[in-house]
Amino acid sequence: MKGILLFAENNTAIDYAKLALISAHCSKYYLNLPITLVTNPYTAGYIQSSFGNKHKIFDKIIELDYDQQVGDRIYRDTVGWNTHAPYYNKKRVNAFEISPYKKTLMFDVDYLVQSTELLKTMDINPSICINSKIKSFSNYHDNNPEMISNPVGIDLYWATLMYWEKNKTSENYFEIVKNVVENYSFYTQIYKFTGNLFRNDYVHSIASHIFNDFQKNNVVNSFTQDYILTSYDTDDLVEIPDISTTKFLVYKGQDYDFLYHKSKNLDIHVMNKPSLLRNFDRFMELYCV
Amino acid sequence: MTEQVKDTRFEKALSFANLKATFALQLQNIKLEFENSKTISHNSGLFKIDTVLISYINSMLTQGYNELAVLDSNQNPIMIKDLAVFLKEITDTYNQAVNSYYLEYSKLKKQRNITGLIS
Repeated sequence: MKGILLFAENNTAIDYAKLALISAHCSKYYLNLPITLVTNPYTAGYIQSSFGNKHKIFDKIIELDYDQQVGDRIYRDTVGWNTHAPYYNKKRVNAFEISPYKKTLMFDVDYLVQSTELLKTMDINPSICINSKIKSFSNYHDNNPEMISNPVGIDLYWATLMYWEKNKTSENYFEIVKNVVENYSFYTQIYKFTGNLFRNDYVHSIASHIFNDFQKNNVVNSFTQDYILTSYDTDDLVEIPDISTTKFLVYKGQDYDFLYHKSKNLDIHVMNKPSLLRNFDRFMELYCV
Repeated sequence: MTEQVKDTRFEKALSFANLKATFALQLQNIKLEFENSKTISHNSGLFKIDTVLISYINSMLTQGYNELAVLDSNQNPIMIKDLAVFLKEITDTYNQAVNSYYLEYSKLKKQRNITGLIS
């Protein structure tokens, strides 16, 4: 059975429950797959009591205990606002066991599905897929592609979007993921990156590197679209004129200058979460059928 | 964010100086859409269709093959059980993708201001 797995836990700055609703309704519209939400008891209660029937988009809501260790990260809303807030992202480590599906598509709740593209990857039956490339709306950021830093730099795999089929290969992969998480500070030394913020991206980059025999080969595959199209948190989602179309103000990198931009039929990782939340009602109007 | 700040951003974004950059951005987008729309999965293989693939399949059909293992875009061998059906599928998909790309590109090329480019 195929399905989608989402993780969302509210914090003091971002209403992840609302983001999960946006993400779930959009993905249901394009992919028409069952959706499971993994969250904590507070967020589960909030999502089931505050949005009428909208939570019924989730076929299953799994409540797990609060994370014991919590990181702290910056949330930006274009270049005019930012704040620090706790970041709950440890539950994903157990995604393999948590997922009720044989074939699981897992993505961040700020990943906006706007096409049927992801179904193609599920059709070709790979064991594990994670992308290691991104493309941004503006090319201004691409001069500094994120990588786990030198001198032993490896490709950065984006845990934003993952797919796996439950089999021995993917089970082994997730065992490595757990090992990396349990020994995170050790790996910060080996791969020479700062361990201030726990990032699933780093965990999966290291796990993929190990799993690929410390080389670049195809054990961990890319999606059919081998990059994640990204709108950075300095951009602003300003309008959703109709189904599958979004309009952004894209930051040019200096002088508070932006480009106006329209995107159509393309899945987008919208890093500016407050801008997604500002458009919650519009998303529900279009996709909550 | 105040409405006044928002207006300033829109005003700057819509200025003529940004016309070329906005055009380039929109062009990049329709190219990405085109790339996706000419990609199909077939019998667990991934095919990014191009004219070379179409010509190759057509030439195999002309030579009398009906069933053939073909390398997909990941260089994995995929068994195509009915070449004629596959040829129709890839030709239709490719033509439709190019046609949509052409329509979007033509619309874009005609625009002389940013409002038109992103409408």
